[in-house]
Amino acid sequence: MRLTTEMLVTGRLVAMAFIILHTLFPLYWALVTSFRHGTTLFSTALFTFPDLENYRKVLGGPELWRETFNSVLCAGSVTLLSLLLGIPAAYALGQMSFPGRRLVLGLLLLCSMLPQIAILSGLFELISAMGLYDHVESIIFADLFFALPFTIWLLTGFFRDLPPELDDAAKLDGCSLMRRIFSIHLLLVWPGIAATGLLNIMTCWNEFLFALTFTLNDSARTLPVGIGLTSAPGRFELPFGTIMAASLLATLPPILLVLFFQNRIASGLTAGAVK
Amino acid sequence: MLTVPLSKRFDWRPWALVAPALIVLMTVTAIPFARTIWLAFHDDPHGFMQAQPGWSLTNFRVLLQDRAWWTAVSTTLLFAAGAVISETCAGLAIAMLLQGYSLKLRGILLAIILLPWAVPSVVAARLWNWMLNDQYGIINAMLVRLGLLHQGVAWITHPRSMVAVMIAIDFWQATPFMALLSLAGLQSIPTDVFEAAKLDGASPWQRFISITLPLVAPVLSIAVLFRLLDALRMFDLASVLYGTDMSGMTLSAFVQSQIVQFGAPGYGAASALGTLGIIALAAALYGVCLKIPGWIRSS
Repeated sequence: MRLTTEMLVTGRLVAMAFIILHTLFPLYWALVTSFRHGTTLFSTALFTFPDLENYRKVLGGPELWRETFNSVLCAGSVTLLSLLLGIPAAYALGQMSFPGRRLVLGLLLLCSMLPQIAILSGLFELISAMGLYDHVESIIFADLFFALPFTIWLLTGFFRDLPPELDDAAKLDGCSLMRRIFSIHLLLVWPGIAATGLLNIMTCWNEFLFALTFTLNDSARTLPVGIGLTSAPGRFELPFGTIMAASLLATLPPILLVLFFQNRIASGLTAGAVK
Repeated sequence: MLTVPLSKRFDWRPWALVAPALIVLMTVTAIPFARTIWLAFHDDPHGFMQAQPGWSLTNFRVLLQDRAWWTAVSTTLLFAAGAVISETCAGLAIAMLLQGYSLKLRGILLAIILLPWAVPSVVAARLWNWMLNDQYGIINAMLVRLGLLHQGVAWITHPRSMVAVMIAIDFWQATPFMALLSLAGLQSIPTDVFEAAKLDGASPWQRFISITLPLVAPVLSIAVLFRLLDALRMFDLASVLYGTDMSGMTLSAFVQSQIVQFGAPGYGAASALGTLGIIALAAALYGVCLKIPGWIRSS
């Protein structure tokens, strides 16, 4: 009996170690590769000394900075816009009862299930007609397609969890609707808002399909497009060192968000599925 | 439901709150979607030929005979099935492992496990592409060093392993999501149920089959649906790994390349509607699969 318990404990430890290794090794290898250039790239030795040549090259040119600026602008505006539009709507859907409420919720669910390519042809025409093609604004506009339904859906769940007595009591005290939203509910729902905002930032930061489809030149590219399209500068040169350096720099913000706000992000992700 | 209306008068306030969001959503969803449907039923101009005006089914007729389209269908379905099944099993296993750790350690481990999920899939695709490189890739080098391979395998360019490569990368990225949701499901099970089963002499396997699985099922089945819908629309990995190579294309990559590379918005729209149909079928099939255990039990 004792032996099997010990074996079980060891087995669990080994399994966990394997999972962590499988999780972290690719990221570690990206780091190792980003320190290598020239012929050292062909080395399969597991260790290397930090050499910042690739980082110097990547950070020295204007591309990465421009792409970062576009990515920040994109993720920031989409998140802000969808929260601005989504919070009032989610309040109404989560705290008020009105005919048509279920219909609106159903429509939102349908919208969030629609894949991006289902609207791609039409959106391409619409964006060209609005003169937004090859501008960052096109990505911001397009990203609202998935960010807005997701935001409203998630926040509605958080608003619904608040006790309705709160609203009723404030109403009896003569508190107006706007004041109720801003001074009572927002304060109570802010963890939910933070979780929704973080998830939106990460989705927009990583978004590739729209960003690739609606931009043509470097000027409007976001980081994923830049990294996805980087190719070898010369015929006999492998660009993997610089690609990995740029990749790691682009991955740093979402990774920091996960490490710092793990609980919020986890609660947002589970709320999306459980509610 | 929540507030009792004081009068029968139409209450405009909820609509005023919902309206701005709905109007924006209409512009970014309803208008492009309607236009996509319209485009699907109209011919594209070809080369120097003007497009035929009026409604037509040509796009769909061509689509049904398009080899590349059917390859994309099978690639996508194979990818979705492989990814979702492997990620669900591994996610549940990881969640059960995590449950054995103290709350603090669990938090740290969960943060580490979630990292690949935060990595942009474009980055993941490029990173694994490099690791799987036939000549200089670390994975081939390790397999050769371990004596499992004689020489490097061209994982990325071999048609047989293209889908497997995508599944492996998606597994790395999406298993954390399934582990997280499985953990949420596991934590909703009261522990005294397990204690009682243990006292009654139920084996670990029995406890897993008749307690854990049925009680996790409600949360897990929704998580699987999310994952399935996500996998069926996979674009990033296929696009970055294989570009416009027909043998590695997923449905989303097929549609996007029709619109952008071949400048055929109508044909792209028709294939997008076809993709929607495939996704709806797969989701319906999944719904039926969920019902089967219930039917077996009741019969």
